[in-house]
Amino acid sequence: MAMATSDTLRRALLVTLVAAALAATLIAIASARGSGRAQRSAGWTNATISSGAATLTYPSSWKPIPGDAGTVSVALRDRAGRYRGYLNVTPRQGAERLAGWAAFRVHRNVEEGDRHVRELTASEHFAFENARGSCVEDRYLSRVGANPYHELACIVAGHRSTSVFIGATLASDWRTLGPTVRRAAAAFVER
Amino acid sequence: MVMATSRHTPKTRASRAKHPRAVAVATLAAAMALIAAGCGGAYGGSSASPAAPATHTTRTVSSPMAASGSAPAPAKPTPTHAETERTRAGGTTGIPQNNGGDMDADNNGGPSDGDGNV
Repeated sequence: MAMATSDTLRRALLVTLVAAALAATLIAIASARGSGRAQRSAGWTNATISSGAATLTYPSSWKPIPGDAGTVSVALRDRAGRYRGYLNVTPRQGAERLAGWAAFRVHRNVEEGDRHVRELTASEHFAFENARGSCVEDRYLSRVGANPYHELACIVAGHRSTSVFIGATLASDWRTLGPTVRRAAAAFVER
Repeated sequence: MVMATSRHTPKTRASRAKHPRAVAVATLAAAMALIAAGCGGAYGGSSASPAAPATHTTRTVSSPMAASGSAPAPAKPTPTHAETERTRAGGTTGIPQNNGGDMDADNNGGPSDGDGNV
């Protein structure tokens, strides 16, 4: 009985902390909104996708990596080449939209071959800078290498275009790198 | 900021309802997290210029930790430079997968990207 109570307590704490983390992201987004701080952080770099529709702001210690045409990807890799942190911006390609974004993203990860995909928390239709977005946090094992990742995935609709923001870290690094991912989400600009 | 919907697993919600103590501790944790988030929200410098399209632009790092208490410090200060984006569009509709996306992170043990097409 005591063990069951303790287990319940742990689960409640975990879910609450995850929800609080997403709330922290939304607060950071709201605080950056309209102030232009997103593009004025020392030690952070801007990268705009080729269409000009979206700008990613990321730590200068993270480096651009190859990706699909028309997208921007940067990563923080360890000495072994593993992706400790990853940020990606991709123009909307398929049927993804703000409504139902969490289900779409989780399903999409499964389609990609990721395993043990688990949605943690999600919110829809909140304000980015001059845009609106929906976000989901989830965890999964990567298709290649079965590396455990914790991701924050958002779809952001601006006045002219819609893009997808992905921020992910190794699950073990989320505690330290998650705030960086959230900050990048808060600084993300969609036009 | 408007959060129209917020979802959690029904199982967890039910568990919390059955255990007032768990709810109290969880609420306290959430409050602490939100306070921390509020403190972290005020970040950023104030003098950089906007980035040019399709390029990466970097400012010289003077004190990265001063910019944000949660951002990791770079290995060393980075000089100002502009780097051409390596992933320019090829004038196609949709996103070509680079011959299977061999250079993509998700084909090399990394996270999945934001491509909405399979």
